Amino acid sequence: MELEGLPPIGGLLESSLVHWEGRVAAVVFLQGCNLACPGCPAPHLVPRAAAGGAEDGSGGVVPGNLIPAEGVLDAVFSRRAMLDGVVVAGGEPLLHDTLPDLLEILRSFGLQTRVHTNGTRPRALRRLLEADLVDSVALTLRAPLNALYSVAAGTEVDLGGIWRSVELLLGDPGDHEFRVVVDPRLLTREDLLALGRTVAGARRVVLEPAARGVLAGRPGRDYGGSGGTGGADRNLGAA
Amino acid sequence: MVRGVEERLGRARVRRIQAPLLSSLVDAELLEGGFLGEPRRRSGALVPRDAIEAALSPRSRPGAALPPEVAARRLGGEVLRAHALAEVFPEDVATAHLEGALHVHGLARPAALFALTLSLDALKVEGVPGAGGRTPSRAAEDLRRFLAQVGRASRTLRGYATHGVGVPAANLLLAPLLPGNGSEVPPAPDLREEAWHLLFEAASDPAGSAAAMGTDLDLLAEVPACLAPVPALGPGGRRTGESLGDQAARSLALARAVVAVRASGEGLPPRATLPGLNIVVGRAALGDPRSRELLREALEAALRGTPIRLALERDGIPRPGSLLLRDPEEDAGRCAADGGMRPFCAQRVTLNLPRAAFRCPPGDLAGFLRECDRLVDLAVAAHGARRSLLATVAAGEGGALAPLFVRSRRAGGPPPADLASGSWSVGIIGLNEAVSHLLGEEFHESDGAVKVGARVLSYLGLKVREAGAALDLRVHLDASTSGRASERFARLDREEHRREQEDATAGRGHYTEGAALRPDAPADLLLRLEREGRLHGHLRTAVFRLDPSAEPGVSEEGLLVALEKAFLHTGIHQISFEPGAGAPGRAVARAASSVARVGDGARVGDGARDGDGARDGDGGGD
Repeated sequence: MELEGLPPIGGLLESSLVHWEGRVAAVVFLQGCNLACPGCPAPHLVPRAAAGGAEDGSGGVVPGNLIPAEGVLDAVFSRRAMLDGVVVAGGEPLLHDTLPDLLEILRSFGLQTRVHTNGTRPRALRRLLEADLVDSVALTLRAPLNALYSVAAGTEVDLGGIWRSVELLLGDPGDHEFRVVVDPRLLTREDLLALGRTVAGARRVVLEPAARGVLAGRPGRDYGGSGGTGGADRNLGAA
Repeated sequence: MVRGVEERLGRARVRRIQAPLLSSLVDAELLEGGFLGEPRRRSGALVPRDAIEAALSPRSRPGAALPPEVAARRLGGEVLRAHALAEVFPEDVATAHLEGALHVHGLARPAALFALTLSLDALKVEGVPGAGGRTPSRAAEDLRRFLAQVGRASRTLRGYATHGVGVPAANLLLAPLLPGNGSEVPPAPDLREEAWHLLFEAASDPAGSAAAMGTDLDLLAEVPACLAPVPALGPGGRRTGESLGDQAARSLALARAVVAVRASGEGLPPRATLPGLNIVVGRAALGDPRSRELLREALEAALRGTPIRLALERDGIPRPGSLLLRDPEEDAGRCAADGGMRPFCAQRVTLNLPRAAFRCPPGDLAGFLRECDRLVDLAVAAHGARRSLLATVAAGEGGALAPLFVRSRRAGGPPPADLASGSWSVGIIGLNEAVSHLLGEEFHESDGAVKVGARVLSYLGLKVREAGAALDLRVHLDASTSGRASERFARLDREEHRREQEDATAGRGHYTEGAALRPDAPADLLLRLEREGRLHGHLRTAVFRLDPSAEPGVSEEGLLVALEKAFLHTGIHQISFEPGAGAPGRAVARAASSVARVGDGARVGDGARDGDGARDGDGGGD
């Protein structure tokens, strides 16, 4: 097994019942993200170089405290009978050109694969879908696709790229899921409805509470109505 | 004289001594010294003063008032415990119990059984037996009256069991009593009303009496193949002309109603007193959308904090009696038999596996197994002694166990239970710590530790059957869930094996229950399922505890997937969803619950189900 050309792995969750509903999945977290979301649940995965490592100047990663891919694959392989699939998350996994190699290995274990992406790399996403290397894609949206998105993402974002990713998934026959991160200090009810219109026709939309709020200075907003947003599944596409 | 007694004890290398023996030694000294003409007759048990004082004091809340009736029952339990150790069991068994090498459960009520089952079909035919089984009430002609009889019968049975009473196939056997024929499912509100009455009647008393012990209701998620052709018994115990297989839809609908009402708790007694729900899941249930709906609703209830247990039955035969009474050898015959599914477990003796390991140097597996041999022989000897006692008290229509063992004159049917058909349990505690001492690794740390654990269980399973067969007893190996025994073992081991124990337990004040992984071990759900599953296959009963709150964000769909994995890929017998049980502080919480139970009727999981005072409030722990 050739392991040198694999993406940098910053974490492994050996089993999860929540990252891919209806399946028992291992979750592989790749190092590096192109967003700087204030409420990121895994900020240690954001730097392109892990702690102790450094960027090599070309956008690549020099390994620091990364988890050896061999150990990760061994752990997943040894549990393949109990697992349904593997979720590759991040960071932003589509940043890594070697992601297909990792997915190919996981597929060879007889496991299904899912990628969690922020949607900013539509071309990489298209390549994965065309190569039929993923069984499911989960795309996380943090705000309606307007100026607010850069606030939610903590950096300038190519909204056109996210649009193309959304359209790509809506037009793809494979399984997908849109995960909407709901931070009441950022989004209004109208924002959520706008997001609902963006993903209209989606197979599944999950409302996900923000991990923690660090959007300082932004007053809380009222969504109206009595319904909560705490992780409940809502089909915004049908709204 | 005192010095003389002490020297005798020193010469005999006796470290602990029972009160009657001490009294005899004093007599011997008095006799030798010419102070006593002849030895005083010492019949009956002597109860140490501190035990009496402890029995009269509140345990849970110092300074709180203890109802005189509870105090009297506790004191009675202390006397009976002392009597049992002095007179009922062989001296080497009593010594092993006192030294903490093993734990004989239910000493405070030596004439009671460990766990019983209530057969609803038998109740339909026979009605509720009266005193001595002589004056049964009439068989009920409608469901509401029958449920009242279920309540009466379960309360009666709880007086005869120290651990629990199970009601097998409750939903399936109640279904023929619902109005209409088998194909008609009554409206949901009607079903919920009947479910409410079932739960209300099966609830235990709040605290302080033997009836405080719980009743477990088994709800079948499918109609097992072996039960499908059995004739359905309706009002008055008469055959309805249909089979139990015809009741599938009603049975499932009733189970869903029971789960919904239990989860809402509306208008029911305190949660701690409500019956436990065991949902029996077979292969067919996992593939049937309607059964899956029941499972989904049960798991949703578990996520909201309702304790739910799932019994995984892989061969289509329902093991009656839920937690304790899985009895795979004769189930098929029992299920088809008239008034079947009423097995019982007469007694449990739990072995202190860490102690057996601590007596051997690390690595000495053969020595450990020899120690286990000795313990199993003692446990089976204890069973033999208990059987003699039970045979005595069960004999005749006036015997203490007459309602269970004497044929009902009016019904003319078979006796409700046959002493010879009962099973006997050898429980284990602390296999994880025993293996840790021998191997230097716990179950979560290495595959090799699990292999050694499986080897030990395999050996013990054969050994208990062999030793039981020699006394014509059906003895099974079980995972003991007794928190009281675990803490007692750990406390006594600290005196003689402090270093070994500290190495094996990292200072915890108890041992891991049965063959489980340590609750606070750094192991995820899959690892626990996989490793415990390999050990459960060697045991008749074992419980895998899962705390839904330890899996943040998980949905009922996720739990259902975990259930399927456990069913298809492991040997797990039973999954108990216990909110708050899986956190690192679990043991503490469980111990606290056991204490609280005496005072306020609290009941959490099976930690308190040790067949002793904490469970039944009748005389304190052993």
